Amino acid sequence: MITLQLGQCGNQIGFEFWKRLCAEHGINPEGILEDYATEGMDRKDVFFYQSDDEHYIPRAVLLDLEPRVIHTIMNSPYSKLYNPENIYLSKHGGGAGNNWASGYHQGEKLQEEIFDILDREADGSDSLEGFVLCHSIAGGTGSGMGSFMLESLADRFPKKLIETYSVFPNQDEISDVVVQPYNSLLTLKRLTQCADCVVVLDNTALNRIASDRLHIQNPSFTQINKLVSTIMSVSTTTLRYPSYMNNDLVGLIAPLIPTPRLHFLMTGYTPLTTDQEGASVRKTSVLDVMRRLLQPKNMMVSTALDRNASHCYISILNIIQGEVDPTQVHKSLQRIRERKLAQFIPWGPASIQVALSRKSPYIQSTHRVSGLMLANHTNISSLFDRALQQYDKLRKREAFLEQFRKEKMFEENLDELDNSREVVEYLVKEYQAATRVDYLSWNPNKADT
Amino acid sequence: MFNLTILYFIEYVTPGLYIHALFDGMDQALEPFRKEIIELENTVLNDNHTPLSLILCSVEKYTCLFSVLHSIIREIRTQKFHGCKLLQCLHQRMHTGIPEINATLELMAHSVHMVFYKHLTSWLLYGHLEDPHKEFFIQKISGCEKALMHEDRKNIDVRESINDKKIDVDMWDYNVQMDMLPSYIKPSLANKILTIGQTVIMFGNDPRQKKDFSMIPKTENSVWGDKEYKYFRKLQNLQAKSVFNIVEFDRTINELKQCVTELLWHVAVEEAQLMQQLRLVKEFFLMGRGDLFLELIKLTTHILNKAPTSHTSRDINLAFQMALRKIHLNDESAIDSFNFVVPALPSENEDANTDATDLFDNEKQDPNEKRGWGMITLKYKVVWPLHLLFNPVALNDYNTLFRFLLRVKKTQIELWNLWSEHMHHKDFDIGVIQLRNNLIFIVDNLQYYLQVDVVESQYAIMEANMKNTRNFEDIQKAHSMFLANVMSQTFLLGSGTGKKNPVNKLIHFLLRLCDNFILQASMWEVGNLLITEKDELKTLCETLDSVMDWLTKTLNRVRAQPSGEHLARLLLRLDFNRWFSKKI
Repeated sequence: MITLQLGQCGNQIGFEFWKRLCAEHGINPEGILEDYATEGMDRKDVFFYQSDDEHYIPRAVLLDLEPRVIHTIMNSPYSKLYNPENIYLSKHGGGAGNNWASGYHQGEKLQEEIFDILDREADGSDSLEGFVLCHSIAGGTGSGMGSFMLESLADRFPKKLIETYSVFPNQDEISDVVVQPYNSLLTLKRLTQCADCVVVLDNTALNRIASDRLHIQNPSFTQINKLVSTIMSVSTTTLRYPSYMNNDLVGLIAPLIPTPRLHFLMTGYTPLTTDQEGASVRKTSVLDVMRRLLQPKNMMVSTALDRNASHCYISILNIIQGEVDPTQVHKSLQRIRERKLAQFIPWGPASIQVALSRKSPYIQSTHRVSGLMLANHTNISSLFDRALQQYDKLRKREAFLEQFRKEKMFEENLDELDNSREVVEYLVKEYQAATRVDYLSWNPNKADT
Repeated sequence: MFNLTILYFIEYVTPGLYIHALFDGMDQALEPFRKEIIELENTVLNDNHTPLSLILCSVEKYTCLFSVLHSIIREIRTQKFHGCKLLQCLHQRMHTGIPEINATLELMAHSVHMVFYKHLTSWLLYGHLEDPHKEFFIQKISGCEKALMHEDRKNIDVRESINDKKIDVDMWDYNVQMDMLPSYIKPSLANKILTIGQTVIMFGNDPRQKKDFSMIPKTENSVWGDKEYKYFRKLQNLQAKSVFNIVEFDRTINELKQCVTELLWHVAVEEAQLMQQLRLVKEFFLMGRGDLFLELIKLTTHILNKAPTSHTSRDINLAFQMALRKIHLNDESAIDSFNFVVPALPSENEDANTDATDLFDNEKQDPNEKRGWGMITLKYKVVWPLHLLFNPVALNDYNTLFRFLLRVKKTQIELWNLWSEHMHHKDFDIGVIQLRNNLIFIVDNLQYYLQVDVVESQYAIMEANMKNTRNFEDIQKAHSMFLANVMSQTFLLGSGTGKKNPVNKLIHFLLRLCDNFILQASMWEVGNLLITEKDELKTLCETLDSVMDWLTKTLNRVRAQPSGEHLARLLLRLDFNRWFSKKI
C-alpha cells in the first residue's frame, strides 16, 4: 500500500495518520521500534518497510506545490521518519493558487519526477495492492494535481486499486477559496471515474461533530485532523492487525461497492472523546456501538434530508475493536433488524457485516469497545447535489472563470467543466436510482429524476 | 473326590491365574467339608456302630453348596469363562440368602480379587500389564482390531507414525474390554482406570526425558513421586478386605485420577503451553491468520487447481514458507509445527483427461475434490503431551474443517478478483455485476458466519471453560465440545460417512456455482455479452435463485428446533434484509 499525500490538507491529514500508525505499532518518531513493542502480531509491512539499518519507513510519498506544510513536517520530531527522496516540493514553491487547472497542469509537468518516485516505491513493495491518496477536493494542489495523479495512476497501474481519503469543504463557513465549487466538481469527476473507493471526509460534519459531540468551541485543524486520522487508522486496522477476514484492500471494499460508480463511502465512529476528557467513560457494548454507528449524528458526512427519495444503505461494514464477545455480534444484528434501525436497498441482498479487529496493545483506551462504520449510503448524493448547486450558482454568473481560462485545458472552451457537471449529475442520479427497486433496469441514458 | 473333579476340569478350561485363584478359593472354602469328613472318619473308626443317618446328617448340609459350586464349574466350562468374567460369574450368585454359601462364595471371590488387585495395582501405578492369558479387563488391542480402529489415522499418518511410533503406540494400544468387565464396576469407572494407566505410560514415554535411555525405568515414578507408596498401601488395604468394597474402590480410583489429571493439567497447560498451542491451531487450521492464507492461496492456486503429483507437497510447503516470510511471522515454534502434505493420487487414466469427464461428473462430484484443494492436509507436530487432545481423530476433523474453510476462502478471493476486474470497465452488464454481487454477498456472509459465529464464538466458550479449571479432564472435555460444536455448526459432521448434511450439500452446490460463474465470467466481455453468454448468465442466475430458495427454506424449517440456533444465525446473516426470503 503506497500512500500519496497531496497538497496542504492531504499532507496535514497524512501527517496525523502516520503519527497515529507509529504510535499503534510502537515505532518512535525516528522510525525505530520501541523496546516495549515486542508483541509482534501486527503487520507493519503493509504501510512501512524496513531500511537496511532496521528503521521503519512509511511507504508514503509527500507532494506539494508550496512548502509550508511540508516544512512544518520537516521541523517536527517526525522529520526523520520519512524517506527524504519521497518528499517532493515543486521548485518554484508558488503553489497552485487554489486553482484546479493550475494544479492539474503542474502535475502534468512534474509527472516524470513524481512517477520516478512512485515506480521506485512500487518496485520496493513485494506485492503492491494499491494506492491510498489523501487530499482535499477544494483547493488547488490536492484537487488539481490529485485529479491528474488519479488519472495517471489508473492509467499506469491498471491492476492496482486506488482508494482515496477525500476531504470535502466545510459548507457552514464562507470559504476563502472562491472557485471552490469549480475545483470540487472537476475533482469529483476524477474520483468517480478513476478511483475504486472514496472515503468521504466531510469537513462540515467533522466540525459539527467536534463542536456538538466533543464540545470544542472552535475546533482547530489539528483537532479535526485527529478525527480524520482515527478514521483512517481504524479503517485500515484489519489490514494491519490481521484476523480472519478483510485482510486486504479488495476484501475490505469489494463487499461494500456493488457497482463501479457507487464507491463513495461514509464513515462513522464511536465513542468519540478528546484527549482532555478521557474521564467521561461510558459503558460500551457491541450493541451500543453498533446502534450508535447507525445514528446520523455520529456520521462524518453531513447529509441533507432529501424528501424525494427514501434513502437507504447499500452496504455496511462495521469494524469493531476491543474486548468483544463474539456471541454478542449476532444478538446485536438481531436487535438492529428487529427494530428496523437500518433501511437497506430493495434490489439486492444487504446486511451489516461486522469485522472484529484487535487494538494496538500500545495505546490505552478508556473504552472497552469502539467501532468504525464504513457505509455505502445513497444519501451521499446530497453532498454531490450540493456541489452541483453551488457550481451552478457560480457558473450562471460566469464568475471567476478567467483564472481557469489562463490554463491550457480551458483556453479554447469550458467543455471540461460542462462534462464534469454531467458526470456528477449522473452520479447523483445513479445514487437516487439505487434507492428504487428497479435500479437494476435503470438506464442511465434515459433522463429520469 | 471333589479335588479330582477340579483337576479333571482344569484340563478343559483355558489356563489362567484367575481360574487358579478361583480353585484355590474353592479349595479353601472346602476346608470345613474336609475337616468334617476327617472327623466323620474318626468317628466311624472309633465307633463301628455309627449310624448311617449321622453320616448323612453331617454331609447333607453340603449338598446345597456342592450344587452351587457344581453349577458354577459347569457354567465356566460350557461358557469358557476366564479372567475377569469369573468375577461376574461369582457376583451373579452372591445373593443366595444362604449364609454358608455366601461365605464360601465370598472367600472364592476374595481369592480371585487378589489376582485382580495385583493386575490393577501394576496397571494403575506403573502402567504395566503382565497378563499372558488376557484376563484383565484392560487389554492390549490385537493387530487386526487396531487396524480397524485406526484406519483413518493409518491413512494420514504415514510420515508421522515413523517418528512417533515409540511415543504413540503404547498408550493408545490399550482398551477396556467391556465384556470382561464385572457388572459392579461401571464402564465410566473402568475408563478412568484405563486413563490413569495410559497417562502413566505416557509419562513413561515422555520424550523430554528420552535423551537418557538408561533412565527410562525410573521415569515411571514421575507420575506418583512420593505418593506412590501411599497409593500402593491403599490398594493393598483394599485387596486385604474380605469383601470387595465398591465404594472404597471407587473413591480410591477417583483419588488417583484426581492426582493424575492435576499433574496432566500442569504439564499440558503450564509446561506445554496449551493455550498457546490452541491459538496456533486456531490460527492455522481454522484460518485465524487470514492474511497468511490469503498469501498462500495466491501463491498456490495454480498448483492446487491440478490433481496432486509427487512433488505437489514440496511445492506447497515452499509456498507456505514464502507466505510465512511475507507476513513476517517470526514465531519459530509456530513455523516448525506446521507443514502440508498433498498425497498424490494413484495415477488413473480417468484423471489424465479430467476435462472430458468433468462434464459427466459435474452433477455428482465436485472436481475440486480430486484436485489439490480436496487433498491438501495440514500437518501439526503435537507438543507432548497434547496428543491427548490432538489425537489422530481430532486432527482429522481439523483437516476437514481446514479444507472447507480453504475452499470458501479460495472462492471468495476469486470473486474479489473478478470484482477488481469489473471495476475497470466503463460499460458493464448489470446482470453480471448483480450476480457477482449476490455471490460475493453470500460467500462473505457464509465466511463471517463460519469464522465469527461459529469458530470464534465456540473458541471463546472453550477458552472460558479452560481458564476456570485445574483439571485436565475438563480441558479435554472443553476441547472435544469445541471441536464437536464447530464440526456440527459448520455442517461438516459425518461428512466422511457419505450421508451428507443437507445444508452442507447446498453450500457445496453454491461454491460450485461460484466456480462456474468465475470460470465463465472471466471469458466474457462484461460490456458486451453475446446471446449465448446471456443465456449462460440466465441459467446461472436461475440456479442461484433456486439454491438460495432451498437454503432459506431448509434453514427456516430447522432453525425453530432447539438445536437449530446456529441455523438461525446463518439465516440472519444471509437474509438480513429479507432479500432471499422475499423472493420466494
